[in-house]
Amino acid sequence: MDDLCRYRQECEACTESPKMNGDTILHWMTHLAEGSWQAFKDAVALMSNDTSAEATQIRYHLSGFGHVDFFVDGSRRWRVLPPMLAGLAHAESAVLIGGRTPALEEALASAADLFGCTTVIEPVDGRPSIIRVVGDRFQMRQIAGEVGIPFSADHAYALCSDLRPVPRNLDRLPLESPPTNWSVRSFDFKSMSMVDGLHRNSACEFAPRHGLPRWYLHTKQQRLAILSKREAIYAAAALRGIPLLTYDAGRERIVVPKVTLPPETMVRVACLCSGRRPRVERDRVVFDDVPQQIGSLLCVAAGQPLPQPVTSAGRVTGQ
Amino acid sequence: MVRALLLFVLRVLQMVFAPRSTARSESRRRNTPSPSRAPLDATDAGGAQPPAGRDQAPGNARDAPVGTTSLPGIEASARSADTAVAEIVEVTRDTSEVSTARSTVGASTSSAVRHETESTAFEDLDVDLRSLTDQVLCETCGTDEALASRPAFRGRDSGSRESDRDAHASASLDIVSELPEPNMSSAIRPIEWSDDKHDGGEAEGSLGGVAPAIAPTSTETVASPTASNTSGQHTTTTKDGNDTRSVVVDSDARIPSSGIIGSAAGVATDSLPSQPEGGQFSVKSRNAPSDVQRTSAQRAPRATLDSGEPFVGVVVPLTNAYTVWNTSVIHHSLQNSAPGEVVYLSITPAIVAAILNTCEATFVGADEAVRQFADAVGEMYKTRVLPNSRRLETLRRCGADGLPECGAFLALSVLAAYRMHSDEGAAATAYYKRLDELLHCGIYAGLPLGFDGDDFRGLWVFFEAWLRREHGRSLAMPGNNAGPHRFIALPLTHVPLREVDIARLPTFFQWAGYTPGEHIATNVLATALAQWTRGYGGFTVAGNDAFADDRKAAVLSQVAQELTSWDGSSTDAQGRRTAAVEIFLHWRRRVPVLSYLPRRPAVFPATFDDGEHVLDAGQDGWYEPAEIVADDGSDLLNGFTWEVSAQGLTFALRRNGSDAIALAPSEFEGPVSHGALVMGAPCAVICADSVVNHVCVYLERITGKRCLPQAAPGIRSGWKLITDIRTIRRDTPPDGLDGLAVESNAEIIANGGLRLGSRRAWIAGAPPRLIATGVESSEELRLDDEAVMVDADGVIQADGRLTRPGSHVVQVCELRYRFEIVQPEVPLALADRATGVAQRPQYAVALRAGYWTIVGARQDEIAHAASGRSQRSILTVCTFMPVWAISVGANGALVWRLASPVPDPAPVHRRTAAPTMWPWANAIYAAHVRHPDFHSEIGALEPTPSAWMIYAGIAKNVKRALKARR
Repeated sequence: MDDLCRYRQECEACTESPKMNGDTILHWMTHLAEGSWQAFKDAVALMSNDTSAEATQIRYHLSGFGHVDFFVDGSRRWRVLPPMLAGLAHAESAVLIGGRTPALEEALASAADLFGCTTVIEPVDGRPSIIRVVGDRFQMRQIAGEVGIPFSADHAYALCSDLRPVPRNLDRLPLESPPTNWSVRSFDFKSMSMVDGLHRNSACEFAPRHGLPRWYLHTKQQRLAILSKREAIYAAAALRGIPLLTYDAGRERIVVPKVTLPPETMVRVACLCSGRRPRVERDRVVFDDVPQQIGSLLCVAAGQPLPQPVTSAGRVTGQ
Repeated sequence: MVRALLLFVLRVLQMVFAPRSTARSESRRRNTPSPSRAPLDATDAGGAQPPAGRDQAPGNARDAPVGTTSLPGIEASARSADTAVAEIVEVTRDTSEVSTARSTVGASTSSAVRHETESTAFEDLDVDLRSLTDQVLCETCGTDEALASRPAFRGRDSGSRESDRDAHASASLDIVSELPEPNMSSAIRPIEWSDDKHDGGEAEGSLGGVAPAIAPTSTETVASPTASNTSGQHTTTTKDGNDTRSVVVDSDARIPSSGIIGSAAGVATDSLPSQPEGGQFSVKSRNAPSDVQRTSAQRAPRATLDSGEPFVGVVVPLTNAYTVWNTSVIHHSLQNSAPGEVVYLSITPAIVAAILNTCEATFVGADEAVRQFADAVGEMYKTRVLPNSRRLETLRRCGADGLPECGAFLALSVLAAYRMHSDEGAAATAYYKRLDELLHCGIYAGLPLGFDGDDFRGLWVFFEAWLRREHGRSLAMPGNNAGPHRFIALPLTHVPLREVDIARLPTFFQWAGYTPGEHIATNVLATALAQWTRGYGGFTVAGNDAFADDRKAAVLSQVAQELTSWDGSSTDAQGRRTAAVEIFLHWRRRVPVLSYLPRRPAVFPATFDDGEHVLDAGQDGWYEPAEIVADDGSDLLNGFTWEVSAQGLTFALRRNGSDAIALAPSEFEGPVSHGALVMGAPCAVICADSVVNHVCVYLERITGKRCLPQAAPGIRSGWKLITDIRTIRRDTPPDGLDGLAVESNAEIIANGGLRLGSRRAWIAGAPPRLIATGVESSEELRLDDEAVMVDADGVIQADGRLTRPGSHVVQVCELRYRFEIVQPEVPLALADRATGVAQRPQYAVALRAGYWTIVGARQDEIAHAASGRSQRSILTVCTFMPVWAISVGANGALVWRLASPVPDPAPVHRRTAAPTMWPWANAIYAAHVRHPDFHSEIGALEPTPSAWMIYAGIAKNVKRALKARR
């Protein structure tokens, strides 16, 4: 509870200063339950006196830690997820995900005290804090019951059932003709950047004169399949056989290029394995403490080959 | 004295035993054809009426068991003589007011019926006359049986009259009191039709859904106590000339509180299939007049109605939805007036939508808002007003929040007045039809069910008295010369402009350069409106007349309220719905950025895509801003229209050409294009190069300092941006630069903070920055009744006051800006969704390309996965916990362990082995005999896991058992 009080004071101090306070943003979003991307950007800009760049960073955090879904069903709206105590893959701990309010945070801290667990609040530089509860799973369940929220024991693995492989049904996607009089750029895997023009088997962005661009996957049939940006890039990589996401079984970590983050559901799975933010190493983003089982699932979902299995006989067998 | 008293007693007895015909005519003058309600209203003696269930109130006659419910009848007869005198005096006085009406009506019942038939043809405007006429009839006939059932008579110990009444009333009232209301569709069914001829049904208790035209006097329904049977049903026989029919009434049934007439109509139609065309079903007690049709004596004395005294009695609680609307409507009315002013309850669809969107943080259109409003009031009407014999009087009181409970109902009545116009269904003067369209309660005799003009007037008087007492304001009321329209004149006073005129207001707003939600000073508005009505056609003749005569104040109030609720859209000559595209200036990393900021009225599509411009819905009421690009200079200069068709409508976003655009502080982080510069507020201007010199000279005049134009961001050439403009004086702008005039309307702009949708509410911890514009230095600004200072930028120094959750008010001159600071809460819908998320019994499995069989711990848990032609790795989902994935091929077998620790398989004996276990056992056995390689992603794995051996053993046993059975 002392931790919570200190955290609350810090929040209030943040509110008075122009420094960004991600917790207030999350409280606001929770109260509204859903809203538009523009409203979110405006809110972040109002709280931080700057820019869409920060909005994007906070979006990654909110999405990665399962607080908010962005761009729901292809729209430009966000929707807050229900509050939940999400058990992590490794440690005997859980994090509070979904929407939350000061009252809910206090209730969780009180319940954790009641059942002999520890609540740790980890401030994250202007983003919403990570609220972690340390204890065994039986206690976690009791705490969640006391607060009135669900508890998901291995939430990262549970989320994997929602994963849909990026390349799945590529052949079945409705194909469109390119919009006329729109500018087009394609993602170049060599330079890992956008280049002008429409390239074969690539993710491409068509932009109108005013308004929102659209992302497509340029298929072998010279047609376009509309996808989200990240899905389009990973689908193009799968078509070309380029590995973007790699899993290091020895160190139990997933590594992706910084400019090509995987789709949001996959990032969320990776984040909720450890309950920690990914690290940035040079031009790569590293998700630590990802069990091999989940790493394999993420690889397949990203359209990448499975990590080579080492069999009990020390060789690769089968098909 | 004694003689006079005896005469009076005789008079009362005469009334008690008077012929039924008068009672019928008395009840007919009201509009609820409920045959069995009369004795049921015994509880009304105390002004009380139980809720829809009607089984809650102790002592309620309806709670009495069958056969013992004579109490209501006895109570009905227990009247005090004093009250009777008072009632008679009231009737007489009412009658005297319409002496002309009396002369035209005649004294006989039949002529009265004829008169009423004619009256209904006039539908609404002569309702007052008809109601008074009926009072005349009661008196003329010298009978007043209806008085016996009047609430004013009930609950008082009249001593000698009680015994006299008992003998007369108890026999019939016993059983009638158990009769349900006519909307008991499932409880009333026909038993017998003795004759197919039905020459007109009985007017009272008409369940056929047809308004009775002429009521034959021979029709009667005999409710006999002997007809009661053991099942709690009672047979009611209806006689209509030669026709006789009966219905069985289930006394145990309970009546839903809504849809009285509608359901009743359903009964007649559905349950009486043999009913001849034109026949009407009627139920009426012999001696109990249907006091669902309220008599004038049941109403409070006119003196009470006129004095604005509250109704005293037990009433059904208001519905939550109605309470919210009631509060919102009253607050809205108060916000748009100042102490000492006349309050206009102007309600139009746009205002209703604005109230809803503000209150609920939603973003719905006017039609949907009106539907929700009407539903809320209609539901209240059915649960509060209709079940109570005091009807509308029950709204003449203040709720727990201290607000009059009639506010929303009166607002709905104003909305009905607003909707009066000629259409296929009704004439422009048909007010009550419009009211019924909103209330959905049904029309009877030209009036909405349960509606009474005097009670209606009483509500207005009560509301007016409350406004005077609590807020020192007066309510707009019609003059005394309203004539026969005196009741309709009450709501009409508040809508001098009807729908057709209101529809033209967006054109005026756009012409005047107003922005949605703007507050314009009354004198400024009057000047602009006069100019518009003279030069641009303006309103209809009726609207112009209203603006020209003594209703001008009401017109201005209505226009001002309409402006605050305007969503920025209008309909142009081509029938397109149009909205404006504003210009938005903001800063990105200290660099100014200009964007188009299109308005998005609720009717506009969420995504505006005309092929060249793709705009998505942003904040409520707006599309996302689209950055201005290099080629847009000419568009700004010449104007543009972006057009898209959706759902059969054409929507256009447009901006008129201009060579100088003023930008004023807004709810957003930067200034937005505005019709004028705002006195004292930090503004900006973008202007074409061709006029920049004129603009600079003018701006230097009104700001008193030098202007420094810079290249407009985004626009390659031809435009300049001038920022940091703070006007200190007014001056006439040069020709062609009218958009740079200076306005000095006092305005409070809430800027920044984390706002909760379109409500004037912000989350605690992120309050808005309040900017006061157009405020003279001599004027005092108050925040929550405390004087506050304003800095050089017009920002109100709240000094931490806004950290406190709750309602806050900023006041300057007549302007009051109310807003809320709200503690965040988890919405109920979100919490509900959480329970669904927790149940996720699905298990994902990733496998290499190939054909795999996945098995679980139970022998019926088996699934297959294949990569198909793509030869890509497999991601599949099982509904059971997978334990092993088995692949058997030409190169041997491969087994992946998918669970750790591996659960023991379910034990199987020879007798319990079932054929459904064969695939499971066969898959494991087939791999086991091939000495598979094992792989696991979870934990360490020995060369041949012992857990696998257990599974293989059980698989072997299952196979043996099943083979043995063959």
